[in-house]
Amino acid sequence: METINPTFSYLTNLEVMQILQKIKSTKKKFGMRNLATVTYEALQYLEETPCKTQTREAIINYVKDLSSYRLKSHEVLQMVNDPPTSALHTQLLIDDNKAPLTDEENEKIIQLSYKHFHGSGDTKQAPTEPTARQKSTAKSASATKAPEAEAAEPPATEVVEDSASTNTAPAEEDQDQPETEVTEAEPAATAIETDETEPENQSNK
Amino acid sequence: MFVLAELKDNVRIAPDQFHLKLVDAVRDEIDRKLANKVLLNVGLCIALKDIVSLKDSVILPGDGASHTEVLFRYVVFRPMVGTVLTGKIRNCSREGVHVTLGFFDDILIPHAALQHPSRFDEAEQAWVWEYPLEDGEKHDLFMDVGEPIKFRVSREIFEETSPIGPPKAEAQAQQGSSTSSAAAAASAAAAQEVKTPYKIIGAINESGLGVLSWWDQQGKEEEQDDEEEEEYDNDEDGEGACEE
Repeated sequence: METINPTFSYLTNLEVMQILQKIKSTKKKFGMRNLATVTYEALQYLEETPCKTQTREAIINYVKDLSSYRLKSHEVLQMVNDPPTSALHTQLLIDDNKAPLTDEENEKIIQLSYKHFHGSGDTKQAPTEPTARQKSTAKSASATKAPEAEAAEPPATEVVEDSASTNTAPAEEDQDQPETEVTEAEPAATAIETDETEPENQSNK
Repeated sequence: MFVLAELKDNVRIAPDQFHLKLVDAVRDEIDRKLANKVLLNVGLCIALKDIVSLKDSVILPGDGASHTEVLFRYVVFRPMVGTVLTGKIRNCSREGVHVTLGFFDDILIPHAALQHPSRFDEAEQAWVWEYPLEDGEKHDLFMDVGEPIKFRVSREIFEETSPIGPPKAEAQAQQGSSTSSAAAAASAAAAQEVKTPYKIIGAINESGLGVLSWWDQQGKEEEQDDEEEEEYDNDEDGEGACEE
């Protein structure tokens, strides 16, 4: 075995993941246990990294946008494999001894990460929007900053659970929320279902 | 952290595989030989990417198989020194923290490269970062098994692990000199020291490195006082809550 070039080129995690997925889907021969093992384990690792949700176009655009920041190629590669989501994270990846990044540039780079790889570490903040009624509270939750979003989420989930438990409960919850369209229909609904819903309301509330 | 390495080798295809297309047979042989193996000064070989060129296949006298010289590119795991990787803690020992990536296990963060005031807790067999708070108290941050940890690659060590010679001759040569206890034990038990062909030495002594939950931005609102799962964030830049 002769090594012509040990570092012919660098690969992004996405490319490696795609190669391994292709191998996993095609080969199932005997005597290839080593390949199967390392492919499986490497795929397990890669699927937990941000590259799972990346696409070639997103990476190409991201690199184009980053070209205005005078970054070295190995720094760009690291940022593609692990897009920075905070100022501290960016400082770890970029060696800024010679030309320190200003806070503004740092913030812009983080915005780029979100723009191209939306959902990078964002899944915790995803607002719950199962029904039309909840949309008003959920929208306000996602628009505001992190602390307020987290505070709004617990009440939203409570309401979700109540509506999921019974079919008639939503009719009652409409009364609580300031939505005029539904309240007009309310009297008609309650006229029909008064006896059935009341005991259930008491148990819910 | 992955590179493409260009390699050249003479591949032997046994006659029972002559029914396959040459390209496919060559691919399988190369994978059989290299997958999940460490090549000295190249790295941990993962899988074949593509074949660049094939020379003519020849049949040598005395062997019915065909021999083909192949130039190919292989996906190799070899993180550049200075890159930041995320792995899981495998276990802690006196020497430091052992980290694993699933497909690669030999990563060590020596105790000197841990966050500055750290101690080894014998009872829990875990390293603990004693984070000094402003009021002079210390906040214990444990490094437990299975926690995801971010570290920087500081060194890579390749060791030659092919068999050197008969163990007896080695033992006699080494008995006189003051070698490590491992070698002395080896001569006594006639066992050989286990050498890892590819080792990575990491470091976490920078802000932002270490167990992920230590630097979790979302931990700002929810600071829990559990003994093991501490979410402590360090807002050195004074930026406050970032928009997430």
